[in-house]
Amino acid sequence: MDKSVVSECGGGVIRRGPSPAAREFDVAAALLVARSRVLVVTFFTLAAALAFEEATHPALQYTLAFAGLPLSVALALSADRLRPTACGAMGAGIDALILAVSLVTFPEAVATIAAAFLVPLLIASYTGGRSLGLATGGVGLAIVVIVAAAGGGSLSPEVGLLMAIAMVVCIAVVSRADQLLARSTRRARFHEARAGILFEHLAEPVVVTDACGRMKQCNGAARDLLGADPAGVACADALGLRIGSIMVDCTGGCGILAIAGSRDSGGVEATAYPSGSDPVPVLVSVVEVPGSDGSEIEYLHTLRDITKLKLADDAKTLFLATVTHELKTPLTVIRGFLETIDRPDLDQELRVEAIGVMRRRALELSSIIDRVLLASRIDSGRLELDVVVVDVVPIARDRVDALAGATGRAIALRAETFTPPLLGEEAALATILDHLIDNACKYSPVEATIEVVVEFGDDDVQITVCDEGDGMTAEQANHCFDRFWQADPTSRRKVGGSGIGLFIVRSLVESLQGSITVDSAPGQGSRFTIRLRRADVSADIRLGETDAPTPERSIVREFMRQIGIDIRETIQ
Amino acid sequence: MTVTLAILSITLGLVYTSYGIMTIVDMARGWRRYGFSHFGMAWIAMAFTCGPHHLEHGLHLLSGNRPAGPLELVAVIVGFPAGVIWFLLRVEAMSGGRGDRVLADSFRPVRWLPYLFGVYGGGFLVATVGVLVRFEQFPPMVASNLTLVVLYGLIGWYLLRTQLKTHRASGAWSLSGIALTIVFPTCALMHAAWAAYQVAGRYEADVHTVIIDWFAVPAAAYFLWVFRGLYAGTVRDWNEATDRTEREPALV
Repeated sequence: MDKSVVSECGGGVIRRGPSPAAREFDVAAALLVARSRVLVVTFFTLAAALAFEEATHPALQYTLAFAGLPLSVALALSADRLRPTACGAMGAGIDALILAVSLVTFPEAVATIAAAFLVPLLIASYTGGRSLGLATGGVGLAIVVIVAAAGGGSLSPEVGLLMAIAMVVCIAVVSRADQLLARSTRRARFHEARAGILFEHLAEPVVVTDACGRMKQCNGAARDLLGADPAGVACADALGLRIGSIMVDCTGGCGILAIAGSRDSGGVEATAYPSGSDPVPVLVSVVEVPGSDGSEIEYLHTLRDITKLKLADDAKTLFLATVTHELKTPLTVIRGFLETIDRPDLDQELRVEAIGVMRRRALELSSIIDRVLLASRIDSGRLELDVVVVDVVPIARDRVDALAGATGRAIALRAETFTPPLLGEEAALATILDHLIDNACKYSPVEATIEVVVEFGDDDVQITVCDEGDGMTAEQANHCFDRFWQADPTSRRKVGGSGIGLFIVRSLVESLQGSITVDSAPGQGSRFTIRLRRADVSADIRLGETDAPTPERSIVREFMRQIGIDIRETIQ
Repeated sequence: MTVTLAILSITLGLVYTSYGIMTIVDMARGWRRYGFSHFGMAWIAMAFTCGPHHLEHGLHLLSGNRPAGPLELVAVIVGFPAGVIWFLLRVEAMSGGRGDRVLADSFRPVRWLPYLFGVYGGGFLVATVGVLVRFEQFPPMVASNLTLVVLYGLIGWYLLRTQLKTHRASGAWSLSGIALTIVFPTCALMHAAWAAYQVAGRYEADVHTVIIDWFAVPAAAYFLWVFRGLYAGTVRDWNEATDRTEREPALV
């Protein structure tokens, strides 16, 4: 993340600028070095001036005084604005000049001066890299050798060799340190960028406000919720949070935290009134975080849109009411007939008929409870299907016959002479067909024919259940597989049902890795089509065996893992 | 004693050299995918100095060029099973197997291992001092052995620390890790014994040993640097390498 948003509390000013960059340390070092160099240049200029009468190279001393000194001052004033390489090169040039002047002025101190020269050499390596360091070191050593030779050979070969070795070692050490610094900087940038991406793409809206209740930062989900980038806007205007009918006041700190009475609010149910949008029920949690400058407090708000939860809650309440009603109807019938057969004067024929009715109603109760239990298993992810090779036509024929007998409706089955087997589970397929045919029976006229068609394509087997019923609008068709959903809630009392039949169908079909679609129009009936994988062409025919490729083994990586080195796999 | 030591040394030499070849093969296989591996290169360097070192010792013993010292025999006997187990696990890993076994805390021999190794190391050092009492000379060639004692000791120490850390986290031991943790200190002790025998005038350094040992010094230093760098995160290797090969799309 190269950019961050920063605001000032009082004026609510938002400015975007670079976050603390990796150059920060380099700039600080370059400034320190440049200012120190001014002192050194001043010292040597003065020392050279004092020794001027004995000077052998006055031109060098003039150069130092009239070029080196002002240049070093200029560098000290502009080091933070120059490129590191330019700064290093200029500094190295001045250092070489200082070295030359000091050597010609004080040739007897050649070894000491040369050793001291390692310091600017290190700096040159650090700021300008290994090449500049080597160049500076080479020039420096050449100056030392030339001056020593000119001054009578006061530099022994051993000292010269040691200095060269020291120079290379220094450059290597500094270069390595620089490399490590660069690596840590890269990592820091990486983590910063990663944190930024995570923040931006969090599914939950996240908003950061300052101590004065002004928006400082928000992620993409928050912008979607609030309709625009609210940076700098007062919290009350952007979010407009209300708890019940009370407006949350954030002007003197976070109102939610004030209500919670702690630094972490936990979840507080509220309603957001974003400007220009409808009210959104949200679960807000607020936590205090240190401000960008380390002192100011900021508040991190996580806003969870609970509209769907509320809708689901409402649907569940409706479902409970419907299921209770569904259960109550057969129970009432059973209770009535129990009272009837309790009469001693009841005719034997009527008694047998009553028992038959009670048995049918008991089976109905059992069916409702089975459906609810199945929906619960699907919900909790406990639905496990044993997918095997299945011949679908006999199952379809069986279910069509059974339901035609039970409902007295005309249900036709049309299947290809040869239908290939599919990958599925017998019981799940029977349940799917039962629900779809039952659904067709409920929503189509009694005299209408319901048709079940089994066909097959290159890769799949299609089972279609068609009815000539009321049909659905496109909007209704989009939601018909939702849990607890019914096209017209008022029809619950008319046709019965709990709104979970089609949800169960879709869940079972998806568990068999198939798909279901609905084609419907108002007044033209509905056509539900299930597509399941053909067993004879499926790649997953060998069920239970893993086809995952064996990962490429490397003894080097394997060994690293064993001795506790963290292995991170990334793929470009 | 001489024949036993010679056979064990030659076996170890072959084992380590083979491991070096295996690592070269693995490096060549993984080069395109992960690039250069310092860790792999350090192992190759170690394997091609340790392997020839043991081979040379064994061959010299068999040819009767020098006697066998009891301390050297003890070190090789202790290091032999650890080295062979470790090598066999590497072979298993290369052929697609696990390459390791997890030893639960309840596995009794593991519990006794620190005590046994403590007794062995302590006794070995006392015996070495006993040898050094008969000091005759201090040949400069001993320097390589002493350097290797320090380097192998440090590597062993880092390995031990890692194994303890892993054990604290997982509650179990890695057989491969334990084997390697035994190998390095044993190598250090063997070089200490060699140096002691040289100082006491019992062993005479021959040119092969000196050359191999001086190659072993930078190899061990390189290995130590890589090893520490990998834990400190300052060395980038195959552990965090990007897979640069193009993946074919999955069929399903």
